[in-house]
Amino acid sequence: MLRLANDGVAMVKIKVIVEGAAESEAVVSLNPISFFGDIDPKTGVVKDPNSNIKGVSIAGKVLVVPGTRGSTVGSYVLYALSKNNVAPKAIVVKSAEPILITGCILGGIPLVTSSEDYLFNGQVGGKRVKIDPSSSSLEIVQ
Amino acid sequence: MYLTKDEEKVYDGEESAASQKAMQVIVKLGEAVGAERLVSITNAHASGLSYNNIGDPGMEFLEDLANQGARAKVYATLNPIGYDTTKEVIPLPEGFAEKQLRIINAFRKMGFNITLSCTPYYSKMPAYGEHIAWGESSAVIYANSVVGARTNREGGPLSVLAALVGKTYYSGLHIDENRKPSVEIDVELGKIDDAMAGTLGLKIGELVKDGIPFISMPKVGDTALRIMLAAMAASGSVGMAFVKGVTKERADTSGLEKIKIGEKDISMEKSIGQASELYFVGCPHASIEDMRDILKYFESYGSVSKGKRFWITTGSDVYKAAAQEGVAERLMKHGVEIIVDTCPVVAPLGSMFKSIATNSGKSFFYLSRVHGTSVASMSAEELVRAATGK
Repeated sequence: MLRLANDGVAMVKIKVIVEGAAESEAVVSLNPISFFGDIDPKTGVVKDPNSNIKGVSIAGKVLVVPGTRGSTVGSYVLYALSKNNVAPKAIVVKSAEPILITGCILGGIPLVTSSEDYLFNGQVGGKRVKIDPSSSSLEIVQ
Repeated sequence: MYLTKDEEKVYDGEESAASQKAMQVIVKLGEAVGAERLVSITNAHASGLSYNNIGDPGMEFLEDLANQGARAKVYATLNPIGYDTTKEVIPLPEGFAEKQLRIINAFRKMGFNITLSCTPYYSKMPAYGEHIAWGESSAVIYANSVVGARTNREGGPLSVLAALVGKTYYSGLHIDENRKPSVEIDVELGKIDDAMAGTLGLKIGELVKDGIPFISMPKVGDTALRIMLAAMAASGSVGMAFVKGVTKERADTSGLEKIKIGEKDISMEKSIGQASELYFVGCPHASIEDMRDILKYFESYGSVSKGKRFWITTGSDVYKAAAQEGVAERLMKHGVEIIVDTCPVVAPLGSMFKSIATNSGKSFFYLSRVHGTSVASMSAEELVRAATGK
């Protein structure tokens, strides 16, 4: 559950899938992403014409997305994003599937899951979030 | 997950950056499906190496792995790619062959055998009970059901990474308790030829989906068996089937749902066969026996008629045996084109053929979906008769 601390920081419980700390602006995709096809591996820009974040770059951001779908090539796209220095700082999903887990390990991108609906409905878009794997928590810095 | 001391060393990067990455992927994926440990494999077969599919990101990843010193720890083979590397059969887009060659060279550097075939069991047959990590659904179901080796349906990257550490996670069809039939299929057909076996396989795959069928059916040869299994692995995601009289593992069928399949359940589209532009055998890739059989048919019916084409697709290892035996040359004298490294399903055929006839259920399923071709299902003998105009 979401709880507000006295200093105005919201904390969310997360499960760490791929280790790593990260802090950056959150970009929220309301629908599942296929890294193969939806994201330009050279720029990190969202190409999917139906996406609520079409044209937005996920480079250096914390990507919050309910899930991922599509071809196994998606793993290689995550690797390419890292190699081209346009990978997200971290990825937050509701549930992680093999293509995403593989890609995050190959690309060295921290990956966490959370069952907190609040994260995925768009409210945290543009806010600064901080992932702390040691305490299995995600902070939303208001 | 429990890791042995040696596995831990690889996981912690004491061996190389490349094998560390590979081990981390395997362990994390294993944890995600609840695997308690890893299992050593003796053989890996990698899929997902066509430039058509993996593009620049995949190519660069594989080249980086090779340059970081990644080497296969077990016997490892490769799936077909988009074209025949030994001769020009279909026109390729500019730059395509060059990038595909870079991918193949990366695998060569990593110590993979450049077999480029969907029948790795003809390069090296695994033993009964061996744990292996194979991509390519038709090879997976053959290994589990006919050979008695053990593999899950591995995806592209995992089949490559498993070769690099010689391990995969212990789950699914690696474990005894999961190798049990989920439904019984009674096939009530008379004699089953290769084309009928393909249609039957497609039907079983549709019915079973990701289950494990126990199939009682009239005895068929290895060709029909391979065609049937490949078909059900395409229309369903079947990783293993018990075929009565073939599968050596014991199965308990008590209490299982029983489905009957008869003549009326199997519809075959043969009517457009005569008008096909391409007649094709070799999905899965042809065996040496297939090639001998087809040669026999050509020797009794004649040569391929003008304006028609007859392809046999096979692996380079089988081709070598056929060449040595003289079968390849005799087939080519009858107008047959023997194509290696690829097949009509994975080659960028585009609109090269409007109609194709084949004995393969798997190709029947994919050709119309991938290239929009009209497809007829005919036995190998019928294909030769139609191609020779007899």
